[in-house]
Amino acid sequence: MTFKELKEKSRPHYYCLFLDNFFPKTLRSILRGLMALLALVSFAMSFVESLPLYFSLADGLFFFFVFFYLVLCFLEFFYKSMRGENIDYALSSILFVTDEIDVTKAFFETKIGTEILTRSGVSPESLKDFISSERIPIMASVLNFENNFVDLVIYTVALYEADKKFQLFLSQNSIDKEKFIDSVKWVADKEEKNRHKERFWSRENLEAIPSIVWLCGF
Amino acid sequence: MFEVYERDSFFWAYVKWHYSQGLRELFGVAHNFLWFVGHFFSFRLLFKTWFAPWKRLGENYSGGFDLKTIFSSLVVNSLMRIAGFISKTVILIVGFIAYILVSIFTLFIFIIWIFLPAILLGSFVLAVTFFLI
Repeated sequence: MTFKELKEKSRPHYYCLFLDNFFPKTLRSILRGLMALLALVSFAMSFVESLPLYFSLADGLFFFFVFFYLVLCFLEFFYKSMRGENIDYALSSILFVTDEIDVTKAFFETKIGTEILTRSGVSPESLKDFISSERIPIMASVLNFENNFVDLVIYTVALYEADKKFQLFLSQNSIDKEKFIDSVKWVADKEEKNRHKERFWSRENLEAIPSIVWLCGF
Repeated sequence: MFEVYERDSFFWAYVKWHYSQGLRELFGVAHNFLWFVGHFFSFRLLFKTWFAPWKRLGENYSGGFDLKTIFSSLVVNSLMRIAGFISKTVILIVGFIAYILVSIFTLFIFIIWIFLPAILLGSFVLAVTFFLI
């Protein structure tokens, strides 16, 4: 699989990444809660004539908040659905910002990439120094993958193999290939666990809840 | 599985998803929740053991013909079966109510899902109308 094909495959994730970039998840969550609360308050107020809100204004506010609440809810459903299971989301977040002329730079500038390197024991100052140092940029076309399945670990290993300067940088920080791969696996595993936990409606998560018969010991 | 979104804008990708993959996933989630209610309340097991004694408690018949022991065991075992029957019936009733509520909620969400464009447009128009009155 080529880099271009990989990028195309992760395309459904770009909608989520786009959303995360311009409308962060925490903000979405807060706004959703706020809209629900305001809709309830305005609905209650529409029944109270003595409050300083006109009857029609309270009703107008109710529909206004319902409108935004529904928009935010369905946006979240779309987001969670697009974060589906068959492509590595952590990898997509790197691919989304990857400049085809300098693949390593994009890796260093993403949250996931930074987390991997920090986990490996590289200091933030060293990261900045490496990016601003003189190095030969690695073109995306250099990265070719043997299989059709590519995840974060396979991608970072390919990047490691392709960029000799990157290898040197890691070895200067006393990080060998094995240690680096372990850090990548740790981050990938953490991301996967978070994503899995988020999907509370999945059969695996629901199956993990014990039945009432077991709880009561009938 | 993902649909092919090619190079759709965010809006068109959403519209496509809403009436295809999104709807399929909604059914999947509803199915999971209904399955969960059945699993959580263990309907099958409770039906099978509906008349079994409460927590398998009871007295064994010690053999021989002692009317007092037989009667004592009969009373204790009957009481345990009645206690088991009542507790399981209560759980089955609560479980069925939960199953019906989840089904109604699913239907409600399904209706909102199908008519979402109309609901959004309606609430927006109503909001503006009430503001202007």
